[in-house]
Amino acid sequence: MPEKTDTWPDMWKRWQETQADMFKGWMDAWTRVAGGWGQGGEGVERSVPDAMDFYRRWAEYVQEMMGKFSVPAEGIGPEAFMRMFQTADVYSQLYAMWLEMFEAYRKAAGEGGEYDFEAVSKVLEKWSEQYREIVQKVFAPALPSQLQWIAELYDGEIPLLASGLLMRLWAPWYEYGRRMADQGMKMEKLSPEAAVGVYEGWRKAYEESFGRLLRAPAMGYYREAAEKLRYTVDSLAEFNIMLSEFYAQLQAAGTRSFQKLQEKLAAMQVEGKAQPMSFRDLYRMWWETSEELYIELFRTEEFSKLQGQLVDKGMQFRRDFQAYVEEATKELPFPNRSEMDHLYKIVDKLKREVRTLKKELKELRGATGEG
Amino acid sequence: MLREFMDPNFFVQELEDINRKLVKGAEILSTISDVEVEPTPKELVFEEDKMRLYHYLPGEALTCPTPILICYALVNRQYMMDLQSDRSLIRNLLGQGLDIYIIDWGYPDHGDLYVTMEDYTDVYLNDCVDFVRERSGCEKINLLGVCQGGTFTLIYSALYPEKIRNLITMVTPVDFHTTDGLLNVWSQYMDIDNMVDTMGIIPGEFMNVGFLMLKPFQLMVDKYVGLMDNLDDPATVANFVRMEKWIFDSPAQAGEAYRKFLKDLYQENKLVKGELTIGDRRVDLKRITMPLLNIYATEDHLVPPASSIPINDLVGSEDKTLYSFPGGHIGIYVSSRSQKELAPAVSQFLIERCPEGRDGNQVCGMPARSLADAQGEKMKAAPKAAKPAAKKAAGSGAGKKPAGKAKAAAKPAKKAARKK
Repeated sequence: MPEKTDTWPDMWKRWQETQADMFKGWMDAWTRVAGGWGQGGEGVERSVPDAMDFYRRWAEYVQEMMGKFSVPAEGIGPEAFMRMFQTADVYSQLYAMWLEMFEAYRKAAGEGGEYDFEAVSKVLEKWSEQYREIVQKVFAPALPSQLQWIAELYDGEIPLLASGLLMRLWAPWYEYGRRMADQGMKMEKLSPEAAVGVYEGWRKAYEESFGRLLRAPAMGYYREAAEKLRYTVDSLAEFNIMLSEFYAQLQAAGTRSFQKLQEKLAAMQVEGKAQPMSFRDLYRMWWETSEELYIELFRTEEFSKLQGQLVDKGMQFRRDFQAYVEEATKELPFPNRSEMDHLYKIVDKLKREVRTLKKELKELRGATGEG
Repeated sequence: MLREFMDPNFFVQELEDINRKLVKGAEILSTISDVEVEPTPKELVFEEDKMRLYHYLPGEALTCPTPILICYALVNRQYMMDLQSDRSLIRNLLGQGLDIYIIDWGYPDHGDLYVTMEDYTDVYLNDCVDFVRERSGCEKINLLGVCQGGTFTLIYSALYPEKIRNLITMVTPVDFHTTDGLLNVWSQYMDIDNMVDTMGIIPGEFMNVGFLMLKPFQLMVDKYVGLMDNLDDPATVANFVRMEKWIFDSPAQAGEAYRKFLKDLYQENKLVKGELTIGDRRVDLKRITMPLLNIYATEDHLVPPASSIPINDLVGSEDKTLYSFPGGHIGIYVSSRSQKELAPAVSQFLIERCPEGRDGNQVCGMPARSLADAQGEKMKAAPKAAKPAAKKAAGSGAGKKPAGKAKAAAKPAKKAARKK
C-alpha cells in the first residue's frame, strides 16, 4: 500500500498554523529580548538564547517544508536548501560561540572588579576548541572537495597556536593588571614608590608581549622600512616607559617635599613661631624645600642610573628613527644624515692633510729663506 | 596662616600690585625687540674654521704690554665676560690697562663631528697663542682660561710651557671625581659613546636640560617669579632678558672632543692622575711652572670648589695664588662685587709679574716700538668696533687666516719680531 501523503489543504493548514506559532514565538522572544536589554543583567542572557533557539527551529522547519515542495534534481531542490541553511547555521553557531565567549569573558575579566587570570585562560582554551569544532562540523561540509584542505588547515593547530599567541601577548598584561589591582587595594593613599613599581610592571608586561612582537623579523617587499619602523615604535615605547619612571621619581620627590613643607609649618605652629606670613613667604618656603629634596634625589645613585638609562633609551629611539627615516626617504632627491656624515669625514681628512702640508711648506720655506 | 587670608586689605593690595606690575611688564617686554650683548669694541684678527680670535681695542694706557689671551669654555658663549657695559670683566680689565684677546669657538655643527680635543688645544688654541705672540712680538703671553676653557689652558700650559708667561684659571675643573657637583655624579652613569655615536654633535639644548636640573626650582621657577618683583623696571627687565639670552645661546659640542672630555676627564679623571694624553703626548701638570692665579667661586654649582682648588697642588709652579671669590659660577662675572674686585685682582697679579713693568717702553723686549706706537697702530688698524659675534660662523675652510682689518696691525708686529 502506498504511503499516505498529506493533501494540499492539510499542508496549507499546517503551514498557516506553523506561521502563527512562529510569529507568536518570535514576538515573545523579542519582547523578552527588548525587556532584557532594558533591564540589563540576566534578562539578556535568558532571552538571547531563546531567540537563537527559535531561529533554529524555524530554519529546520522551512528547510523541511521547502525540501518537500522542490523539484528533486541535482544542484537544486532539497540539496540546495540544505546548503543554504547550513550556511545560515554557520552564522548562528558562530554567533552562539561569540555570545558564550563574551559572557564567559565578562565574568572572568570583570566580575568583582578583578581579573581572573585562570578563568580568562580557560575561556581562551575553550574558544580554541569550539573554533576547531565549528570548522570541522560547519565549514568543512560546506566547502567543495577541492578546498577541503582549508578546513583541515584551520581545524588543526592554528586555533591552538592563535590562542597560545594571544595568551602569550595578553598574559603579561593580565598579570600586570592583577598585581596593580592588588596593590591598589592595599594602597590607602598615593605612594610614589608604588608609582615607580607601576612603571616597572608596565615595562615587564610590554617587554614580554608587544615588545616581542615588534622585534620579530618583518617580511615582504617593504620589509626593510617596515622592520625599521617597528624598531622605532618599539624603542619609542621603551623610552616612554623609562620616561614615566623618571617622572615618577620626580613626582615622588615632589610628594616628599610637600610633606616636608607641612612638617615645617606644623613645627612652626608647635614652637609658636607661626606668624602670619604672606603668600610670597610661603612660596619661598615651598620652592626652597622642594629644591632641597630634589637635589637630595638627584644625588642618589639610583636616580643617576635611571637618568643614564633614560638617555640611553632616548639615544636608541633616535638611532632607530633616523634609520627608518633614511630608509623611507632614500629615493628622495636629497642626501641623508649618514651620507652627509660620510662626506664630513672625507672633508675632515682633507682639512687635516691641507693643514699638515701647509705647515710643512712653511717650514721648508723658512729653511730655504723664502717668503 | 597666610596673611592674605587674615587681612583682606593686604590681599587686595598685593593683587593690585601684581596686576600693575604685570601690565607694566607686558608694556616693557613689548618694546624690547632684542638686547645688545658684548658692547666693548673689538676687532676680528684671526680665524680658523669656525674659531675666531678677537682683539679688544686697548684702553688709554697699557699697564702691561704682554697680552692676555682668554680661552672660554666650549659650553655657552664667551660674551658672558662682556655681557653689558656695567657688567663686564673685559671692560674692567681693559680699564686696568691690559691688552686682551679672546677666542670665540663658534657654533659647531655636523661639519665638526670629527673635531677633537687635540684640535682644540694643539691646533686652534695653539694657533691663537702663536698668532698673539707674533702679533705682539712677545715670546710668551698670558693665558686666562674660563671653566672648561680653563681645563684647556691647563692642558695647553703643560704641553707648551715655553709660550706662557702667566696662567690664570677661573672656575676651572681639574678634579672631576669630586661628588660635590651633580654633573660629576651624573656623568659617571652616562654612556658617552652611545650619545656621541648617536647624536654626532651634542646639541646645546640637550646640555641645557642638564644644567637646569642642577637647580630646578631656582632656575625654572623662582627666577621667573622673581622677575615679577621688578617687572616695572625697564633696566632690570633688559638685564634679565640679556642673561636669558646668554643662558640659552648654547652652541653644540663637537662630538669627538666631547667624547674625550667626558670620558677621559669626567669619568676617568685622567688629568689628575697624570694619564691624559693629547695626541701621543702625556699631559703632566707638573710641567706648569709659570706663575698661576687660580680663581674659584665658593658657591659654584657647576664647578664646585673641590674640583678647582686642587689645581694649585697639581701644578709645578712655585708662584701660585688661590683666589676665593664669594659667589657662583655666573656671579663671578656679573655680580656687583665682581665688578669691583675681580679685575683689580687679575690685573694686579699680572702687572706684578710683567717683566716690562708698568712704565717700560719696550714691547716684550722689542726696542723698535713703544707702547704708545703699538697702541696707535692697533687703533688705526681697527677704527670700527666689531659687531657682536655673528651667530652664523664662517664656513669650515681648511685655512687659517688673519682677518682682513687686522693685517695692517699684524704686519708691524711681525717686522718687529724679525728685527729681534
